[in-house]
Amino acid sequence: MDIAEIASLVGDDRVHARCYTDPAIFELEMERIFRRTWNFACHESQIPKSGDFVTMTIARQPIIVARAPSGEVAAMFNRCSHRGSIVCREESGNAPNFTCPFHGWVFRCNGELAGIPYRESYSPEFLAQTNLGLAPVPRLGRYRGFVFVSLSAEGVPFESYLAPLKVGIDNLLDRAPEGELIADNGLHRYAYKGNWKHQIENGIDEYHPPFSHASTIKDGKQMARAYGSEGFHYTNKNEKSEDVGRSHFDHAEIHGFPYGHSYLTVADRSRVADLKVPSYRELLIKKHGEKRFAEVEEETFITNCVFYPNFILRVNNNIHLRVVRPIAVDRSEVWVWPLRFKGAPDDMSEGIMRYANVHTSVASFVQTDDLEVFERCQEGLNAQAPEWVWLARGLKQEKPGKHPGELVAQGTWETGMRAQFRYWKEMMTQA
Amino acid sequence: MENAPKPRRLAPAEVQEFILFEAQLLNERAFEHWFALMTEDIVYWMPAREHQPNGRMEASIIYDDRTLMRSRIDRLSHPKMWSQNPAAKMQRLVSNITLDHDYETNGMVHSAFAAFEFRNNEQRIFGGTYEHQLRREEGGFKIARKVVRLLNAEGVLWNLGIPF
Repeated sequence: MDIAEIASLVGDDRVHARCYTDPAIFELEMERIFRRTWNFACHESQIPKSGDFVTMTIARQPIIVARAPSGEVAAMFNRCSHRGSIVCREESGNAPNFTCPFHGWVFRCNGELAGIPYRESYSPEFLAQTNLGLAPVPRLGRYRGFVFVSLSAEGVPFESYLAPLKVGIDNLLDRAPEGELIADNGLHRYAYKGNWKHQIENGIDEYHPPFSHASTIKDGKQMARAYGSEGFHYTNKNEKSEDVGRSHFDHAEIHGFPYGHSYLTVADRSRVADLKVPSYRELLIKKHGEKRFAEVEEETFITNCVFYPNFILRVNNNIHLRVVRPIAVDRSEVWVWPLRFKGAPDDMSEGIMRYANVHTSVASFVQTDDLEVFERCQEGLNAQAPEWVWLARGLKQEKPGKHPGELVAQGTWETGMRAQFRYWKEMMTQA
Repeated sequence: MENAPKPRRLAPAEVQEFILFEAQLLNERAFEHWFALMTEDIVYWMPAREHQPNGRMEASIIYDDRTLMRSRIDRLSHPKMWSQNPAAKMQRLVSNITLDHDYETNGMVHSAFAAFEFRNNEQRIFGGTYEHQLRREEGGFKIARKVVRLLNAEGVLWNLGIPF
């Protein structure tokens, strides 16, 4: 597929349906986006001790991230250097080393080769090779417990990639009484028959909730889900949002950035319910002092940070890590780890789990309808006409933000998706 | 061999009939009648992993108290619950209904289920076990706690619309 053809699929206010349906484009996305940029891999609280590991696929490739005895975090391909079997089947666990089931080659938890059975049959030259360990993932980036990997030795530096969305991670950590997040609280896993972009776009889509999630609204108010919250108004005054020009969610802001990143802010401060819970509030005041706590409260304004292409960090209420794993052009898997703040009162953490269960589980009140809509989109996009998907809301009405290349928009504008597709086009047109 | 499994007593007809009646109500989408079987302090739990100790501090597929159960049922009759539009048809088979060794004190009943679901031209099969904690109220049984252990709870799951 030539560069000009790919470039023609993305306009300022539209993208071609083929971006979601064409298997050849999906293969190129794996090659040019997922393998070249950064992907979120795991949170360090999932691997606190020496020998702890998690496995995953990134760009459909099997990967292990493990804690070495030195305390360092190692990321390597889950593929025996001998004949190719994966050396670890578990999703997580603790192991002093990884042993291949095929011929017994053994690797340390940082990936180094530890032993080859019956080694005498190999030549000294063969055994002197330094690349017989598990192949390391080319680049690893860590920031305050968040581990990212890049499958390419070259490309955007981690610091530049992370810069626009650091604010979300920093705010979360400021709200942790003991300065740490815990991601080891079980998880939700779901699959849908649709393209990966449906999910990553959904992370900054505040146009859809009153419609996709109509079944969660009673008397104009969405059911109370967050700890300490009484539920919030979904619609303006007593009018149905279909009838008015502006959504309740337009009180929120979308911030679009380079590298396909974006974040979404809360529509109103009454939705930041947990900071009002007295026992938790006291812990944070004790940690920060009154003055700094007031600033932290002021800085608590982000709902979702969407790290392109695979990671949504929920910064408010049902805080969680959500990772999108593309399987095929029309099939995706999503893994959601609810977070809790280390040192926060137990009832608050229980509140987060309760919210997670009704929000991101496959039997939840919210995710279920998103998944249904993703699948309906995938079916609909097979139509030959119209060719285009419109991403025109608020186009050219945005204001510049503080960060280079940042655009600030109303909550329901499609500024986040446009940021995603700008980067998509940039990456996909580099051979 | 101290921890060797011991056979459990087959549940008496009255208990079996109650468990099967509950499944019938779900099969027939009689959700209000189903809800009426629950005690005020009902806990309806579908763990997300095999040895999950409880639903409080860890993600579950479902961990409902009465309030959430009420919302769950309200939603099932909402015309804009897109994921049940069209609605799934389900058929549950419940078997192996036995009494817990401490049934006299805890009211716990164990059973196994297989469930078939048909929606959108696709049939799915589920299996697992139930734990019912029964309590006698107003002359009949009520469910104080129901735990649904789905065989594939730890797998990547697809939408589950109707309670099990």
